[in-house]
Amino acid sequence: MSVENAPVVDVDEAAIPVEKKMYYRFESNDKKEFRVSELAIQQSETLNRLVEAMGYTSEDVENKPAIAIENIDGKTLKLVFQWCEHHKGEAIPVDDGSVPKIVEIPEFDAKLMDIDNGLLFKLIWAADYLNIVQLLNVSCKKVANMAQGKTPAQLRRVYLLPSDEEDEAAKRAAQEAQDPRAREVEEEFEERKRQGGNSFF
Amino acid sequence: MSSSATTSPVSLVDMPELPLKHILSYVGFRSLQSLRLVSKPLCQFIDTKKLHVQIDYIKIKTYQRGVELKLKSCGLVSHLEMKMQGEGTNVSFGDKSRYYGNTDYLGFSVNLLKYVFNTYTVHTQKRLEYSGGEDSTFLEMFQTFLSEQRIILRVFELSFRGFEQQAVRFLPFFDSNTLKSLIFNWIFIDELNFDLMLLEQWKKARFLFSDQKIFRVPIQHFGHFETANFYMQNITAQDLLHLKEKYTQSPVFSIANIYCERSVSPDQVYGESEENEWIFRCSDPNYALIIDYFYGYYRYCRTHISDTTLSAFE
Repeated sequence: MSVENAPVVDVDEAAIPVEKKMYYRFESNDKKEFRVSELAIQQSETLNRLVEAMGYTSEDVENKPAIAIENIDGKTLKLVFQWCEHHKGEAIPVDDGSVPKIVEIPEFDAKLMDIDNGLLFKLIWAADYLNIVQLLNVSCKKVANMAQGKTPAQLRRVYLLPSDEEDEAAKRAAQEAQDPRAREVEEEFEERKRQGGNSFF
Repeated sequence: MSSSATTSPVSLVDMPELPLKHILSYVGFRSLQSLRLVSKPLCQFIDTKKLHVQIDYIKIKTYQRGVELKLKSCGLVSHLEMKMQGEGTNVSFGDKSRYYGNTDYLGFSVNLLKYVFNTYTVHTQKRLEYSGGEDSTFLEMFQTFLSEQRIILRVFELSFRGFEQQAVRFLPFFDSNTLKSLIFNWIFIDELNFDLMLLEQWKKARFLFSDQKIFRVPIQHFGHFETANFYMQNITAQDLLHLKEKYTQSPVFSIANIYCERSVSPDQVYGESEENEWIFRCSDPNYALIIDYFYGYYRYCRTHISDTTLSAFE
């Protein structure tokens, strides 16, 4: 199934009839509404617990307001639900504490995550917030793959990392937090920069 | 590194801790070192969170007045060479080099390994390669560190070039349940010694490649290897019977190449054969054991019955 055909229904744009089965309505923080199947919701531990606690009937879904997800915008939430619909019914990986895991990125997921880095970071954030284990695994792997063979300067651009000026602000914040390791790390960092901007390894 | 999940991130450092740890556990060792130089908060996060890192192989080579370290992670290799120069150490890495006065090259090298194991949770390595000489100082310093930190190396394959007593002292630092393959390239033929064979790491390993050393121990110590390549000083009739019995009964045995200085005539044990080849049925009726002998070289091979002449008589 292609990314474009994943059966997440954006209510405003809905043209295809939704299958007759239990589904729920969710609303993003920018008021975009989505209908998502019950099976797809099971991929999100957070949403699954939420709908179980609500105990909605099909009528409730239609008559009551959509469930608000206040921290995630419509663009990100659409990607999240497309992923959940495509992977509905699949087993959820059990976190056995063995990190790093061996993660393969399926073709569908790769296409879904073919987006700008800012949106990708939001997708990761949403996967963490909604506790969607496998989406978190594949999206983190995707972001990690971007680091391959990059210099520090390239990494700064790829990961949208703060400028030196902003670094200074972070330094002051770190010192204010009185972390005893902060100064040590800072000194080591400065020393390495002086020595050629590269680490030994 | 956002402390709470209340706002969407605009950059990597805005990520909550869990996803950031996930991401950094996938980037590999070398990229982690580059990321440490990008931003101070990120550097602090990497150095203090004991991140997981997958190491594919570590190579340690010691030679006169020098140590070479190679580390491969996520497809990228980090390569360093420390050489004694005057009163200090010259360190080469990539296309750069730097001189450290009044610094011992051995201490410097061990400290680099200490940094790797102290800063990160190092995950299973496919291979650890150690190549050393008569001087065990580096290996002893490394072992002292492993012992103090109670670090057990989870490595699939150990490739060791050195003395047998060095191997006997080094092997206990490896997880015997993970270590499957032993490759020994001995640089000295020790006297009769059973110490190596008494280690769990030897008993549980499945693959053995031993070069140059001629063993003078009972061949029973080698029967558990699924694949083996080794040298014996003397092979007796009892040894040949033992190997045939062991290999025909084993459901996992694959192949053994055994070289020997002296051997009883295999005809006396396996029966006369014009071509010095014998075939015996295994306990699994689908397999047969083929034994070849050629001037001090035995080859035992477990083969599917359909690939042997036995199948013609079925």
